[in-house]
Amino acid sequence: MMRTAAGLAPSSSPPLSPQVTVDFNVDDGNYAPGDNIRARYRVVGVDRHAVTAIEQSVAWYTEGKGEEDLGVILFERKPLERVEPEPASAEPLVGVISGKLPPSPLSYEGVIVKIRWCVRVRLFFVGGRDFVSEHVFFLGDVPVARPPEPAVS
Amino acid sequence: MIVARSLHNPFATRFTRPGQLAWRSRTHSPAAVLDRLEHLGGRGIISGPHGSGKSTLLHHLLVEAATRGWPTRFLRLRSLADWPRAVATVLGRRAADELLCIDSWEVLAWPRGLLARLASQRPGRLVVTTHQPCGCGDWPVLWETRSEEQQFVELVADLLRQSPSPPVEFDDALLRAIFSRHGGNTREAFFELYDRYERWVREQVAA
Amino acid sequence: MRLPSFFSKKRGERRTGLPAWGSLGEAIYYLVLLTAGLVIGGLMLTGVAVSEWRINNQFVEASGRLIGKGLARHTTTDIFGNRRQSWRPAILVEYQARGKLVRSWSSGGLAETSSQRETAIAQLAQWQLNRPVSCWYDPDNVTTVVLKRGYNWWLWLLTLLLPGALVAFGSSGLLHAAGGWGRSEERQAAEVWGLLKRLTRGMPEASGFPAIPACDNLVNSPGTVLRFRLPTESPEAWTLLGSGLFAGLWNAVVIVLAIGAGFDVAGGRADWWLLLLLAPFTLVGLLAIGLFFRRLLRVTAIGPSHLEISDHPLRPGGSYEVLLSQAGSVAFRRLELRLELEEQATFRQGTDVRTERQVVCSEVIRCWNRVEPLPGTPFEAELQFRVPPRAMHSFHSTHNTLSWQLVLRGQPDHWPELKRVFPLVIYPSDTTAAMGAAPVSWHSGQGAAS
Repeated sequence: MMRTAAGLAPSSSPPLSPQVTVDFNVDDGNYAPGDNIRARYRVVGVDRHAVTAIEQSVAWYTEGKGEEDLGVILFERKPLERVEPEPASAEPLVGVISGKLPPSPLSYEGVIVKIRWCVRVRLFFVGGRDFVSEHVFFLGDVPVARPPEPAVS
Repeated sequence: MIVARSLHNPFATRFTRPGQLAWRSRTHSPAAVLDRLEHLGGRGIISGPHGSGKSTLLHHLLVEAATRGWPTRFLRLRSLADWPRAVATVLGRRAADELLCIDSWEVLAWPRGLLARLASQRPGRLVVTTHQPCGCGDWPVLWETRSEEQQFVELVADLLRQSPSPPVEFDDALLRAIFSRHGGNTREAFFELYDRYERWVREQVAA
Repeated sequence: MRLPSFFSKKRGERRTGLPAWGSLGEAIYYLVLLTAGLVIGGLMLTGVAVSEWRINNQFVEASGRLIGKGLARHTTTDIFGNRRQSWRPAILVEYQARGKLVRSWSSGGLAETSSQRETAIAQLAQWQLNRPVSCWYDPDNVTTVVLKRGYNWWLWLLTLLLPGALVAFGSSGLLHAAGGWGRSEERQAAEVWGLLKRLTRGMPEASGFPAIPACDNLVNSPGTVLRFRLPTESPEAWTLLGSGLFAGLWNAVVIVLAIGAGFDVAGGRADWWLLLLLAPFTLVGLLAIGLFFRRLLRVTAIGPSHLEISDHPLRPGGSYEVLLSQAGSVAFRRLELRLELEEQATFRQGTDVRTERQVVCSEVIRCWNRVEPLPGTPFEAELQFRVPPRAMHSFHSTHNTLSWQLVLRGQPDHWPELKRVFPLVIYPSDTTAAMGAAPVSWHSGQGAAS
């Protein structure tokens, strides 16, 4: 169920052009199962006073012709007072999420089912809106699936 | 052979599900539909065949309502097991200016007419989507959705433009043929485009 | 070799969404249901459980004498004004309680209540006057006496049915409302709520391997030669069951209609519409029987297929032995065993539910061009196959699965194509297994310093 708070007017909406960049601790975001992931993110283009909380997570999701499924392995919600830097600062918002990656599921490039790993940074604003930025990385080294040629009977 | 590791198919369900697609219609806007809802007394049905854009219109109504400052609530029904949630939502406390949108009203089966009559006694605005405008008490039809060929072509262009994946062009005639083959069911047409895109990209990348 | 990706890791996908809020009203509604269930259940339990417990644990046993018999009549009136009577046998018992001689009518259980007076009278026949009987009296009220003890479990079940349903609806709805209250989808999927979903998930997970199905059901049957015998997922078994049920039910209806029509004709009041309807119904019924027996004949003629495997679960790059045994007397023009990976995706929108399957890997393990089994002897073959070194592991989530399977396909003589599926589970490679599962953790760094 989704609900918006009453009284939200366009003029009080936070700027919806935040930019989030994420740097992974390995080249090209290619991880092996069991590796330690350390992703540093940086948020610019947002009114610092308008942010009430940041959620950071490492998750996998499915993509394709079916409904999306989601699995979260690392998650943290940081309320306003824990978000750095201080409100008066003009520095961009930054944070780090780190942890150990599980042995499964591996990143998979199938035909109708794909499995993606990502770091998600979700910003919550005054007024109830939110903004999410997703940055894909790879777990494992499974080749792209290719449907077989039709069998000759 | 070089293969791509991450191919975002622009027609994957996460990009084509209701709420992700832009509203493309030459005849009406979500604002106009909301104005009509007010004119009809705050109750309305969005009806239409499968894949004609009912849920998409519903999501755009919610966005438009939010910009007007209306409190909004959305409930998506999936099966009869959602009956308690539907009852709780419909009969629960609501503000007089709140817009409640319920997707897939037909899932509630034949007793939904009784719930509709009870809901009519409650304050606030209410819009439901359903394939057939029955089982909704005396609620008027707010809008009948109908897929349009040109609308489909434009949606495909939007999806391809927004996708970070390799650019591909689909001939307009092909798109119209796909749309026609699926009888205007945009969702099924997107599924076919999904398959075509997967085949095309694998052929291109492997070449 | 590093494989190029089609988008930079720095270019994420961005969405702006409306926040998800739970509904206070919805939560209150479910709380009311839950509370009502608990209250009603408590009241019902105290009315049933407490009295039964006291009878079985606190009532004092005494030796009595049956000195009288009678019937107690209970009259109820329903909402339409109809009066109904029920009868219960009543026994007058004489016994000693606290040094005094007491005479009291027994309290019969509901099981002894009957709507037929004759039935209640017949129940009285088992009690003989002036015979000694064992009885139990309430120490708090010595005139309350029973002649039977024990527990009515079915009464407990009925008693708890309604409040149980209220508690189940209320608690599940409350958890759902609370779980989605003001929470992003990542937050809902993490920690407690993710745990709740895992507990209620239909398919169990392999220990230490998230999102990989457990293979307990695949390793609980030992083989005769190799280590495990794999279960079969045979679509024809379900088809046979389905056609049998249809034939049975349809012909049962036809028989009932025919009997009714026969009585009508015998009574001289033939219903021509019914008779006209019977003709096509009977035809369909006969066809259904024929179809069922044809399928049954096929299943029995072709015979069961068995597959044993040397180890399970499998690993990428691993080599495994299998023993195929195909029973039955039917010869095959072609028989082949394949290792396949099938993707399955389910999409639901309102009443539209769409499940699609796609085979993305199909490797022939062995193919036979002509198989003619000897009478009384199943066709057997010992084979070896290797899982591709970089094969994707098995995967299962709510709407998407990756299923590995050994598929036996055959073209029997004079029968339609045969397909039998033996599910497998493939884990990630051994190098990943050694690291074990990563615990769910909350690690986060702070600050802008590099």
